[in-house]
Amino acid sequence: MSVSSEEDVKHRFMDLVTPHKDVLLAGALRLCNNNRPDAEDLLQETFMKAYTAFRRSQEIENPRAWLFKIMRNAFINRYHKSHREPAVVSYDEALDDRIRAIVAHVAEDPEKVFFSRFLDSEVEEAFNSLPEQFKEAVTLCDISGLSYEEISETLNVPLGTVRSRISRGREMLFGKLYEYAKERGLLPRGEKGRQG
Amino acid sequence: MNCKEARILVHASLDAQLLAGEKASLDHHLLDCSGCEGYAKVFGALKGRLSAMAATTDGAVATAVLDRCFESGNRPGQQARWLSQAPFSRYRAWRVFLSMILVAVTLLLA
Repeated sequence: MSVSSEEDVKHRFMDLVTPHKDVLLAGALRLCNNNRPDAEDLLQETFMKAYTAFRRSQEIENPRAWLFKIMRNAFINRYHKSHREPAVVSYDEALDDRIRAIVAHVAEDPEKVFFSRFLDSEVEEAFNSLPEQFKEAVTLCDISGLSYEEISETLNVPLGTVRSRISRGREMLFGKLYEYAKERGLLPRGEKGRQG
Repeated sequence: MNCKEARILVHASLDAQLLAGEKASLDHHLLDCSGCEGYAKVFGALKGRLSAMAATTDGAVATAVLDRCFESGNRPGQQARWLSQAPFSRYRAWRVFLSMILVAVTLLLA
């Protein structure tokens, strides 16, 4: 490849990647449990692999989903090999009942009664403790802003699975926050100990 | 529509990902079900909290990482120096090297 065409490919690559770089970093931070050096390494590896692939073929239909797929594979290969076959998380029927009861107590003003009581670091800690398959679905949706179709493409799972993982992942997170609040006495009077 | 189905649609609705026809069914269910209506409020607030976490990312960091990919040491299209120096890569290189020696010894003995 000549120098001029190499430069041309580089410019086209930058144009393709630049609109998505910030959401990629946000996603990398979540995947790496907010470890910034690891997230930056993962992001750099993603860009390098993406550029190598881009030089071979520049027919990229959905750049954002394509980049997230590369990042996810890099993450699995480099940081988390056991992720290839994630442990099956059993469906916790009891969580449904627990969520229903907790929601009834905080639904009037959830932000004031419940969410305002947590520091960002506490939400992050609860988020990081989610099982991987739920954490990555919620990350791609809420942190990186991908559509369900893009998430389906990135994770290589059907749309129904994406829907289910996102709803279940958020419910698990909510349940964890509630337990955390209960343990530390962060709930308003009358809420403590209503659920267990 | 039962509550279990409605709750999955609540999340799709919060994410603006409902399919055609689902919005009317969900709205109808929420009118009759205060439990799911409260559920929608709670998870709407949770989504807001998570989205706020995404907004705290420093844009300059991602730009710097992207620029690093094209620094002189990291030639475009080639594996970056930092990648080839990573402990895992060194380990893999040693494994390949030892395998080659083993094959050579086996061939010599045969």
